[in-house]
Amino acid sequence: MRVWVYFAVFAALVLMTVLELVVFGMPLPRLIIDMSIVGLAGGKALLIALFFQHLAYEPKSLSSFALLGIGGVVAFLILSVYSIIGIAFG
Amino acid sequence: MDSHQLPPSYSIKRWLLTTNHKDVGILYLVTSLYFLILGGVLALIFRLQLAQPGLNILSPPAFNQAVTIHGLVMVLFVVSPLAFALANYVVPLQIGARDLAFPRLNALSYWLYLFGGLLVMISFFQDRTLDVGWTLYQPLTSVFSPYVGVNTGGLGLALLTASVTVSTVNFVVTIFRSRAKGLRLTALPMFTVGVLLTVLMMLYAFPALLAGIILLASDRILGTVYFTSPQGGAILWDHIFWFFGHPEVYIVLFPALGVFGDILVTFSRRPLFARRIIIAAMVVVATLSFLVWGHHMFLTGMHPDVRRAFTVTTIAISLPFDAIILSFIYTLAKARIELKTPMLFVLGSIAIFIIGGITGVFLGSIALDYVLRGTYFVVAHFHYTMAGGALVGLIAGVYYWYPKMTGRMFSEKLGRIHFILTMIGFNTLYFPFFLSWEMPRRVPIYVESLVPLQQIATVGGFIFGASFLVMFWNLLYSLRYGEPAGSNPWGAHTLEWMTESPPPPHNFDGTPTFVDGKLSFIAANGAAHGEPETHLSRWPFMLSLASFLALLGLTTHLLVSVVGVGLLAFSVLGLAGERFISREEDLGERWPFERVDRMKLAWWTFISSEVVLFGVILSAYVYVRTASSTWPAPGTLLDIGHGAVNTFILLTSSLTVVLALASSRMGSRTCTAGFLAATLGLGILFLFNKYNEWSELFSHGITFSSGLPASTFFLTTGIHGAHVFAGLLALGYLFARALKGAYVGKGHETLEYFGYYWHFVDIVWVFIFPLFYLV
Amino acid sequence: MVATTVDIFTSLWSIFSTLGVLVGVVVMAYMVYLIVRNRAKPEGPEPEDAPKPGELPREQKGAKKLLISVILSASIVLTLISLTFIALDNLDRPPAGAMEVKVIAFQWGWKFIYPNGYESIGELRIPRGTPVKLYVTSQDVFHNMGIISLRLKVDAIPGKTNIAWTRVYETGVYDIRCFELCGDGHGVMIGKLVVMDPEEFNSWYSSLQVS
Ligand code: HEM
Ligand SMILES: [Cu+2]
Repeated sequence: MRVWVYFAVFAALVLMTVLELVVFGMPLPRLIIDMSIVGLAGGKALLIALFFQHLAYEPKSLSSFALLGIGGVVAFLILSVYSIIGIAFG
Repeated sequence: MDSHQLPPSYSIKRWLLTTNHKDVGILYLVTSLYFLILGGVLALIFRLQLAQPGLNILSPPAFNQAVTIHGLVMVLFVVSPLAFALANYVVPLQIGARDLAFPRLNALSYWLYLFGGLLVMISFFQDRTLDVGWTLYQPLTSVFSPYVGVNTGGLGLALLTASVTVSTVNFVVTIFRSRAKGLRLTALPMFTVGVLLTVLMMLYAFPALLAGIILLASDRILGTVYFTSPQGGAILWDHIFWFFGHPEVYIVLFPALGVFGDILVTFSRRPLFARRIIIAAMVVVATLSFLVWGHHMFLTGMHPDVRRAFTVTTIAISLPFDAIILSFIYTLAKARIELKTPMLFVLGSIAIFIIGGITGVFLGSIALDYVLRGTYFVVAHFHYTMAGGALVGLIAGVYYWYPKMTGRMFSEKLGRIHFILTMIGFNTLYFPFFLSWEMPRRVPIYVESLVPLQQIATVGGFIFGASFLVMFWNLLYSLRYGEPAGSNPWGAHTLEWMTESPPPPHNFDGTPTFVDGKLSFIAANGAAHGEPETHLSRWPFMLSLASFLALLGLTTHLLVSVVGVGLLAFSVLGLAGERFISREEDLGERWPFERVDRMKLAWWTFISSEVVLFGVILSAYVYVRTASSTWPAPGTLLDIGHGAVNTFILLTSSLTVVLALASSRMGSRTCTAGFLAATLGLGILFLFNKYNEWSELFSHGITFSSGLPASTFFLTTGIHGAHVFAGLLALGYLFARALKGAYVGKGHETLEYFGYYWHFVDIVWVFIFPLFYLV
Repeated sequence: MVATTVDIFTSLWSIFSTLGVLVGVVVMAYMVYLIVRNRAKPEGPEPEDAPKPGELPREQKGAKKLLISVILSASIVLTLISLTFIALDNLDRPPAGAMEVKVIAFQWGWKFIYPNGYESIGELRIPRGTPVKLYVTSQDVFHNMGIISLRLKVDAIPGKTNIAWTRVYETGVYDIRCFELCGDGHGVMIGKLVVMDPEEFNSWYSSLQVS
């Protein structure tokens, strides 16, 4: 592993965080802001997983294994949140 | 003392210190049967109560406690551990391994399980143990059952989830990495297939339970409002619990399906029908099991689309089950069936399970479930599947492998008597439940017209209970007086029968392989060269005892906790510093993880479970935000500055961790230690900043209980902070060792593994920051 | 007469139980037949493909047989699921002109609020033949309001209102019970639904003093 990769990834992470803050302050519709910020966070997570946790250099089987859990969580998130859309609580 | 030698089996020391998978299997077996008696006696007591609507054998609170503990004990402390008793003993033998991948972790799983059960039992003697049903519905559990014993019981469950996580990691790594050469995944014996899929489901299901217990405990103890406010409340819990709960019912079942497969082949003298389709169907079921949980919530008033989706998945899951069960039955065609005790139990269990499965389809139909939910019909359904399919199926396994474990045959005659009593008792007990479908669950009072059915059930309960006495007697008596079994009394073909009964500590003389499609043994056994492997360690027991004390103190006397935490630190250091030799087999079938060594695989498995834990906690946050009509705008409740600063701190700390790793690879002791120290410093800075942020909030009167925005923030960042703190403890240890030059040249994997954890904690923060501060 | 919740359930239930029993009996009979026919006789020979010790597992081919069986069960199950969705549509659509009653479950009893604001505890009176729409919620924990003899059940959840309806063509008294464990008094959380002759009901209802 060349060390410069670490620095490059770190620079990207910092940059993306700054970008999150910049987008946050922009006069755009809320939805677009929120989506871009969460998208940026996803990108950061991916960078960390690929280059700091070295998944980019591991066999695909290991990354797929790591993805399974995320699949489960996404199913949980979507179905549970969808189940209450349009329902008033209080 | 030569740690290679196990003390003799009559020595207590052997059982406290052993890490050998066969010993641990026996410990699991005995303990789970003990809990079976406990759960069974509770059931008989409330069956007596139910023999007549007006009886007063149990007061209403006592009745609720008995029902609750019966359910929890049977599901979590009996059936699954019984499956793991068999899995511990049999899986390494079936795959040709000398032991599990991490023998000490295996012992740790057992002791955590035992001490978790102990906590549950202790809670009986406090004011009240859990009295809210095994499903722990909300907000009943969070505020309306304010008893200390409920906390103790809940902590017992938490300890059990720890045990499950540890054994999950262990079995995943073992089955993927320790198979004999030539034993491809699809060529595994069915029992091992069942166990592999079971642990994979456990890996993703139990963290959800843990997340639920954490939120619940925080509601009860710290006063957060996840389940006490309507926006979280009953429905949030339902989602979390059943996201765990439905996979859990298959977790309970799958080992039994594996038992069916192996026993059917042995006693019908034919290969399994459509074996690969069975395996494929099991994979489908395991996957779908995470997509059907909503069928426990049909009456809660979900969005119609979601309700419909859950109906479709639920009905769909019955089709692969169909394929599995029919294949089992087709196996019997053109067979030569020997009706020995294990086979009888398997056939009986399949017949019972068919009834359970068919009635499951009834319940999957929303329109019928509207009426049947919460009634004895459901009780009948899940006893036919869980008690009849899973437990009775596992009993078949106990008989099947008993000669292997003890070297002796049980009495076939008593086995048959047990079988007949089981069938009569089981159906007399549970069939009337179907007919009582108008009766609510968990009530001691019911209409007169159901008295005959309920009385028949009670009689059946006692027959079913008595049948187990026959088994206990048979197993104990035969231990001494049974005929010697020989290595392969049933003429089975799988690997566990190709060694003595009971097998020697190293399992096989020589290394088994299937390179040319047939079993052969390579003379040089891995254990023969190099230092002998270790089979004893005191730390698993100590560590579990310490955790037990630490938790027990929380609900009794804080001093106990202090002692526990001290002992915990001592045992963790002891475990880390112990010289424990356990080598991976040189030869092995490792697809698809040939290039992932076992520690790495273990760490990633553990990280997967953490992904689900935080995934559920973060989903709960998104959920309550969706349910809330108002939410503070970004920057009003929380100071974005704190969040941003902490983001930069953590990102930098991730950089320093990889730099420490790079330095250790390049052989610089100073840089390694330096970067570790920097990480330590950054971590402390992070927590310090967090501390300031929390204090500011507290000083503005914002506490755990100031509504969902505050509750979710404190809980989520609190759990995250606890992970940072645990990371810092590990860092301190790594730093101290790095100063002495530990990771230079050799052993830098340790830093890599630590990095997985640390970066994962960083990733969680990468999501927490925008979700809580910016969106 | 228009369908009631009882009719909807009963017709579906009879289809399910007929098919369920049929499938169960056929499968089990087949299983028993195979067992009896293929019981090992001491002198009988081993099947040719009997697994030998130390062999890797083989399998009996049978994808076709299995496919046919699964298609068969799939068609049964698909029928059942379509019938379910039809029934569900009817259950989801309360008839027009319903009397609307609010139900508040509590530890351990039932409170009913009539359209005119009158409140009663433990007993709900409705007229025969008129559809009744229930708005069910809870003031403390998770309960479930079940009038099992009317095949009616609905979750009572704090902070959330669920809707159910029924229509009864016979006067009489029906038990209302809680079907979700809700604490010490769960077993005695019993209310009454009184279905009255419409005229009697009207005279009772109009005589109510509402504060
Ligand atoms: C054909 C497959 C199955 C289907 C379609 C099915 C369907 C269902 C449905 C819809 C419910 C919810 C009932 C209600 O509470 O209203 C349920 C409950 C339950 N099922 Fe199944 N099931 C199946 C197999 C199994 C198996 C294999 C097991 C366990 C080994 C199992 C264990 C349970 C348990 C424990 C409950 C009740 C949980 C509780 O409320 O306490 N089921 N099942
Ligand atoms: Cu389920």
